[in-house]
Formats: sequence, structure tokens, C-alpha cells
Amino acid sequence: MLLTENRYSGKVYAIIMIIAVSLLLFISSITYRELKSFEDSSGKVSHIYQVSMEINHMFSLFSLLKSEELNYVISKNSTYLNSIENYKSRIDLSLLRIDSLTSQNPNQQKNIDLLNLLKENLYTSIKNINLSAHQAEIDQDYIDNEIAEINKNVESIDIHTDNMINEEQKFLKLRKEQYLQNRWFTLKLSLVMGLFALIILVSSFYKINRDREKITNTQSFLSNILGSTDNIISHFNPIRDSRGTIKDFEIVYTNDEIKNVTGHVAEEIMGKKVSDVYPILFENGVFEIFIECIETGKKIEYEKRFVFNGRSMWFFNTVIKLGEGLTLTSHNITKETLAKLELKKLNKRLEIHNSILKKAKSIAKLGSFELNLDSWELTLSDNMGKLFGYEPSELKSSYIDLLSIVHPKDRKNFNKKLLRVKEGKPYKEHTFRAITKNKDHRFFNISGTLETSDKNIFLAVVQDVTELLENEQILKSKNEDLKRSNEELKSFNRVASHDLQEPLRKIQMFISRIRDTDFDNLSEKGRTYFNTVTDSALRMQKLIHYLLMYSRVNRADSIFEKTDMNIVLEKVKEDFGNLIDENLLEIHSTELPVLNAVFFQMEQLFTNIISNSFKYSKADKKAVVTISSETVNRDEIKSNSNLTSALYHKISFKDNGIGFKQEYAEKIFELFQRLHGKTEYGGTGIGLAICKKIVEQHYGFIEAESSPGEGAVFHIYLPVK
Amino acid sequence: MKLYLKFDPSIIFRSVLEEQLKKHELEYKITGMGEIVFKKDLSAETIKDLSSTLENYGIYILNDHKIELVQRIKDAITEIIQTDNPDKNCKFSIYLSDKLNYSYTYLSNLFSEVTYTSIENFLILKKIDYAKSLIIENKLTLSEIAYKLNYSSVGHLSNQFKKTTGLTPRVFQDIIKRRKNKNIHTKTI
Amino acid sequence: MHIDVLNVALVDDDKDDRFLFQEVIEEIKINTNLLLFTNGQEFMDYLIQEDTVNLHIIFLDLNMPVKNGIQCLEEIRSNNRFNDISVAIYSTSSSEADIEETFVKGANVYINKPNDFKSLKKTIEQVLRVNWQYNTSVLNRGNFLLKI
Repeated sequence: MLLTENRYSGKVYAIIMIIAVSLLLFISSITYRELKSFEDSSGKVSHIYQVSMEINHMFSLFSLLKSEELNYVISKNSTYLNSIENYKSRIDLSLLRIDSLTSQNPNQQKNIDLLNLLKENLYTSIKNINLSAHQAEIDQDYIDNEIAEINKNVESIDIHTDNMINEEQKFLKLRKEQYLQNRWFTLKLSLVMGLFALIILVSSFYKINRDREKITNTQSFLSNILGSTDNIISHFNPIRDSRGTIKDFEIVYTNDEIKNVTGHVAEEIMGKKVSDVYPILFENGVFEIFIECIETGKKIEYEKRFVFNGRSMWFFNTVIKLGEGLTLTSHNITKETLAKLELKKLNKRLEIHNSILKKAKSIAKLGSFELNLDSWELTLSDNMGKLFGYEPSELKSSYIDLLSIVHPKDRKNFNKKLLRVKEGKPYKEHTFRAITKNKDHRFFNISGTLETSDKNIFLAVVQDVTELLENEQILKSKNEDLKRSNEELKSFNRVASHDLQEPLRKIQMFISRIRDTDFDNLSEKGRTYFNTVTDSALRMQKLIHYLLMYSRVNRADSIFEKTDMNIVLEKVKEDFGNLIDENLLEIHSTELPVLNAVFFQMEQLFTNIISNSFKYSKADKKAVVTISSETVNRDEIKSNSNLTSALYHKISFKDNGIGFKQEYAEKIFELFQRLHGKTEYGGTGIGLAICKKIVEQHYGFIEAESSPGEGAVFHIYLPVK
Repeated sequence: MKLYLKFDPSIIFRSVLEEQLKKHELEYKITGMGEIVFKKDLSAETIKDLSSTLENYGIYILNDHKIELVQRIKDAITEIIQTDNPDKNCKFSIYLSDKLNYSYTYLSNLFSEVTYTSIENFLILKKIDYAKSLIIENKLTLSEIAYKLNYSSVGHLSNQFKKTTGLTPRVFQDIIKRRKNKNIHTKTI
Repeated sequence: MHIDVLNVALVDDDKDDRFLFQEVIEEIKINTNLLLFTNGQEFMDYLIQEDTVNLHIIFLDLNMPVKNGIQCLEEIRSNNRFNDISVAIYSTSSSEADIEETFVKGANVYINKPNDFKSLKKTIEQVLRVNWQYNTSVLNRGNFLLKI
């Protein structure tokens, strides 16, 4: 009932309206006409009465005249003469009046003419009488004659007036009939008209009310829909310029859903221009779509992506022309669109995965098969055949055939393991030998599991591990070789250093003995030579000492553990206790980190650096070493060494020694490289090389910064994890 | 099964003495660590007897005045170190000479002659030895030990420890711990 | 308690080292009685005997053929009879860890063989002196550790 199409189109109603109106007009015109003739009739009737009255009046006047005359005649009173004259004039007037009143009636005119004659006769008679009255001699006969004349006239007048009256009565009757007829017709017509008008009125009212109800219902239904829908429904009216081209649109209506999407409040943007509220529509082609819709009247659908409040949203839009403007329905398809995109992405990934898997399978030399543990039916993958050197078609899908490929010695085990699965026990992955098509013995690894949905089906993956095993073997033996050579090297190092130290010690010992007992007995040259020997021996001793230390820095037998650098420093400080006590060395530090390291190597590292700083301190100044630490990112380090960790601890040792030229910054870490002569500063050139080796074994690196006279800074970088 | 023992030598000394002296029915009074006063003079034979029995317990009768005096110096040093003496702050040399009634120089020379080491060295040795036992006991922190032994700081103790033994207190503690785990037979506390 | 003489044993396979050690002992003013052995086995054989001199301190060289210093040390320390004897390990430089290990095994002294006579003398003298204290005073021999 709500949204039924109107049964009759507008045209029908127009026609009905026109008919009704014309009918009404027609009836009213007829009524009017009847009323007019009615009026006419009644006018005429009153006219007739008037004439009749006038005639009667006139006759009465004649009568009165007559009587007055008679009176005079009788009385011979002259006063009656006046009234006679009065009556005469009144009669004249009356006649005139009647004349004018009956001007239209020829019959009456004739009568009036007659009357006039009569009247004249009368008057004459009267006059004659009156004249004769005045004479001395009264001619009674004359008077009697004349009176008889008067009477005769008056009688004739009477007859004529009666005629006139009858004439008038005749008309009256006619008129009366007409009038009655009129009256009946007119009344009926008026009633009909009235009724008709009432009917039209009532039915119009009824229709209007019904329509109003319909509209109200439709409106509330509509606002319900608009209010409860997820779609944004808007209506735009075009704004045209002086030439009629559409320049903009006015937002006539938009439902509340707009708030959830753009944040606009519906009431606030209604009445505003699209160029103000949605300027984006002018840029993304929607405005053109609007124009097209209005101009072609076609329904247009389009999808568009919008960004509101920083969120991307997709809408499916429908524009339909409505009246002057258009109605836009926007359906939010963001979820679907995103899901679609996600799906596309996943699909793509799946594709990639699949192709990777395929490739991987062939690279890894994998094959698979399905074995039905009940029927012993075997389904082989294509690759299975290839594994054993057969073309896919060559290898028969039977368990017996598969087993025949397995090396005879391994068959029992192979079979046994499958039977275990049948019993419900898990499948033990194992390696077996097989004889390929070209009689090669190769090793294969098989693993498998029962299908989850069908416990009779066993899925297995077979991989050719021949090369793997061979490589493993090679690796193992290489490892053994390496271990052996390492051990040899180690013992060589140790023994060499130790065995070198023994004779050296002896040399030094007996040098000192000679010095103690017989130095003074030497010649001057002898003493010089002797001193040289002493120095050389000392130098050799230092070299061996440091060489030994260097060789001891070995990653293989180092235990990496959580090491607190602060504790390392404490221990090193204790070792330098003497120098610190004698006020020759000062060590300051900030909080140092805890990291994964070999404790004694870290100790060595710190000792060597500090030792170095002390060795190269300025002659007159106390050696001061300041140690600080921070954490740095891989990108902040300007070194060209391999940085495998993302974060490093940077521990810096700054001293106030003699410093060195920055160009030697890398040289100082090289083995046996020194920047000064042996006699200037006692040093072996190994200390810092040991530091470098230690730091590198901890997957870090060391660098130095200095300038002559300004001391030096040593930075060690150690990875954080 | 392993048991750890701690003993007080003076108590052992006293009980052994008492036991032995009782046998000889002698009236005596122990007047100090290593000093007995007898009411009556003893015969040479008694002394010889006593001497041989006590020797079994490692107790020797000193007949050398010098050696005896040195012993007393040692005892005094031990006492100073191990007792919580409020007089610790007063100079050690004054304390010694007061207690033993000899000039410090004389005592010092005598000590070196007999023991091959100076009083100061011995004092340090004793202190460090005591510190070692405290460290092993593990009931006090190093700072507390340093305070107890009248060192000005932990660093001072560590330094002297290292000078005397060549090892840092920490390393020392570690070695002893590892020894215990290995059940090494050395004379433990 | 007082002793008159310090009984010292040196076990070293090197003739020159033995000679030097002897020279040092002669110069030190401490009253000592020195016994020399050329290898570990010889020494252990001697030690086992019942009527040996009451040794106070043994100096053991590490690197010896047949039986090296460590083996001797372990044997000595496994025998309760010798709990009173100080053992000094006498060797050319070892790593920190190795030195600590000798202490853990029961050595009382570790000596880094010095390169000149004067230092050698000073070292031995110090060791003997300290050892003398441990023998003549109430000091805890169990804690006697000395590293030079």
C-alpha cells in the first residue's frame, strides 16, 4: 500500500479535473441563466402587478373624478373643481406611467390610446358640464347628457381597464407558470450543482488525505531506510552558471551515515556546495560522472577509492538522475576490497611458495610416495623414479618393485619399519641403500607419517643423501686433520717458546753471574760487548714472552661467558698495583658493560693496552689512562672490516702519552711493527698485535686515534650479543 | 665422609700441659702463652722427664733466653692482631717494648737474628695469614676484614696481600676453594 | 717452636740450575741443609724411605723427564705423611691459569725462574725466610701460598 504506483497518472487526474471543472462551470452557467430568467420572471410579474395596480389606481381616479364631478354638479361647490383638476392631472400622470410601463406591449398601447380617447371624452364632458354649470341657465338635459356621457365613458374606461387588466392577467398567468417552472428547475439544478460540488470536494479531500497519509508513511519509511542503511545516500542539485553549464553541485540531502565515513555531520553539510565539502570529487573524475548522469539521464555505477581521516576506503557508487539533480548511493566496500587485495597478495605469495617448493624439491632431490598399508598399493611421485635413475613410467607402482630397488641387506629393516607404522608406532626416519638403474649404490633418507584423515595411508619423503653423507665424511676427516694440525701447532708453539726460553734464561743468568763476579775485570771494549750481549738477551726474552702470549690467544679452547668488564678492570688494576701505588700510573673509568667474552683474554687485552700507554707515557708526566664505554650502531662505525652485529660496545682507552702520527694507526697493530727504535722505548711490537688478535677473536675490532704529543685513544668494538 | 675442624692452639696447649703436669703432681700457674711459673723449683731430672713427655706433643722447653724472648715477641704480635684491642692505634713498637720491657731496637735486632726476618715483616706475615683464614671463613667481606686488621682501606689490604703472597685475595680464595673440592691433603685450618 | 736448620730439597734435571741454586743457598744467611736430585723418580724413591731427613721445603722443577714436577706434586700431596712439607714449584713462565692450577694441586709456592742471579737469590731467600716462619710460628700452613 505504501509504495504502490499511483493508479492513474497525472494526466488522468488532469483530465478528470478539467471535466469536473467544466461540468461545474456548465452547471453554474445554466444555473446562472435560470436564475437570471427567474429574476426576469419575477421582475416581469412584479411589473404586471405594478401595471395592474396602476391601472386600477387610474380607474379609481377616474371613479373619483366622476364622483367629484357629480359632487360638483350636485353641490355646485367650487372647491370640488380643484380636486377635479387634481384628479385630472393625476390621471394624466397615471396614464403616462402606464403608458411607459406598457410601452413594450402593443396591445396595451392600443388600449392606452383608447383610454386616452376616452379620457379626453371624459374631460370634455366634464368641461362641458362645468361650463354649463356656470351658466345661468342650467341646461339640465345637457348636464344629464353629459353626465350620461361621463358615465358611459367611465364605463368604457372601466371595460378597457378591465381589458387591460385581463391582458395583464394573461401575462401574469403565463409568467406565473413560467415562474413556477423556473423555480422548480432552478432549485433542482442548484441542488445538483451543490451536491456535485460537495462530492468533488469530499472526494478531493479524501484523496488528499489519503495521499497525505501515503506520503507521511512513505516519508517515514524512507527516513527509516536512510537512517538505518550503511550506505551513504545523498542528493545533489546542479549549480549552473549563466550559460547553463554545470559548475558545481549543491548538497541537498545526505543521510547520517556520512558521519561514520567522513566525519561530517549531515545537517551541517546539507545546503553546502560540493566544491566546499568534497573538493576531491573535482579531481578524481566523479564530477564528470555527475554531469554525464544529469545530461544523459542514465544510471551510472562506478567504484572509487577515497581517503577520509587518513583511512583508505573504497565505495561502490550509483548515481541516478532525479528531478533536476541526482541521487548518489555509496556503498562501503572497503572490507571487501581489502579482503580482495589481501587475497591477491596471498595468492601471489602462494604462487611464489609453490614455485619455490617445486624448485626446492628438485634441487633437494626429493621424491615422495603414498603407501596404502592395507592393500599395499603404492602411488609414486614423478620424482621418485628420477631418484633411482628411472623415467617416471619405468618404475612400476608396486611395493614389491620398490623393495627390490632397496639394497638386499637393508630390505628387512625397510620393511620392518613400515610394519611398525601399521601397528600404530611412529615411523623412525632412517637411511637405506638402494641400487639405481645403472647399478649404482646410493644412500637415501626416508621419513614419513600417517595421513591424518586416513590412517591407512602412509606418506613418505625420500631424499638422496649420498652426496650429503660423502660431504659429511670429507668434512669429518678435514676436521680431524685440522684438529691434528692445530694440536701440533699448539704444542710446537708451547714447546718452541719454552725450549727457547730455557737456554735464553741460562744465558741471562750467567751473564749476570759474570757481571757480579768479573765485570770489572773486563777491558773497556769487553764491557761494551758484554752490555750489548746483555741487552740482546733481554730483548730476545721479551720477544719470546710476547710470542708465547700471542700463540696462546686461541679461539678453539676459549670459553665465552658473560664477563663483567668492570671486574676485568679491577683485576688488571690490581696487577698494576705497584705502578699505581708508586704514583706512576693512574687509571680512571666509567661504568663498563657486561658482555660475552673470555675473561683472561679480556684481562690480557686491558693489560696490554694499559701497559702500552704506560710504556709510551711522557717522561715527566704520570701516565693517566681514562676508560669509557658506550653502545654504538653498526652504521656509526666507519671501519671497513666485516661488521656482523647490529650493535657494538665501544670501549675507549685514552692516555696522555707521547702519541703517534695518525697515518701509523693501523701499522701499530701489526706483528713486530714498532714506531720507535729499540733503544728509545723498550717494546716488542707484539703487545698491540695480541690485542688485535684477541679483539678479532671476539668478533670485534680495534682502532687507534692519535697525534704526536697529544696522547692516543684506543677504541675497541665488541658485539653486543 | 669429610669433616672440617677448627681448633684453638692455646686451649690444646693448656689441656696437654695440665694433663702432663698433673702426672708429675706439680703445682704451677700458666702465666702466658708459653710461660709457666712453678711454686717450687724443679729438679733437672724432672725437667728432663717433662721435656721428653711434652716433646711428644710438640711442646718444647726453651732454655735459650733469646729464643724465648723471640717467642714472646711473636706471641705479643699474635695477640695484637687477633684480639680486638682498643689500643691498636698506638704505635706497635711502643707497645712491644712496654710489654716486654726491652728497647724496641734490641728486640728488633734479636728477632732478625733468630728468625731471619724483621718484626715488621713478621707482623705483616701474621696479619696476612690471619686475613687468609678470615677470607676462607667467608663470614666477613674484604672491607670488614681490612677494618678488623686495621688497614686504612680495602685497597691497602689487597696491595699488601698481593705483595706478600704474589696473589690477589680473590685469586687466593678461588684456589683454596678449588683445593677443597679436590680434597687436597694439606694442613687445613 | 724453634728449629736450627731448614732442610731443603731441589729436584731439577738441569745441571746448571742445580749449580746456581747451590750458589744461592751458600750466599743466603739462613741455616739450610740442601739435598739435590736430578729427576722426579729419584726424588720420590728417596722420599718414600722411612729414615729420610725431615724435609721442610721441596723445590720442584716442572719440566723433567720420566716424572715431571706436577706428577711429583700430586704424589706428594696424596700422601698424608708429607702434609707438613712445603712444595715450591720452580719453572719458566707459565700462563696464569697453569700457575693457579699448580696451587690448586697443592703447591705452596710458585717461582718464575728469574733471569739473573741477584733476583734468583732474592727470590729463594724470600721463600726460605717465609717458610722458616711457617715452621717456627703458629701460622696456617694450609694457607701458605706464595707466588713470585
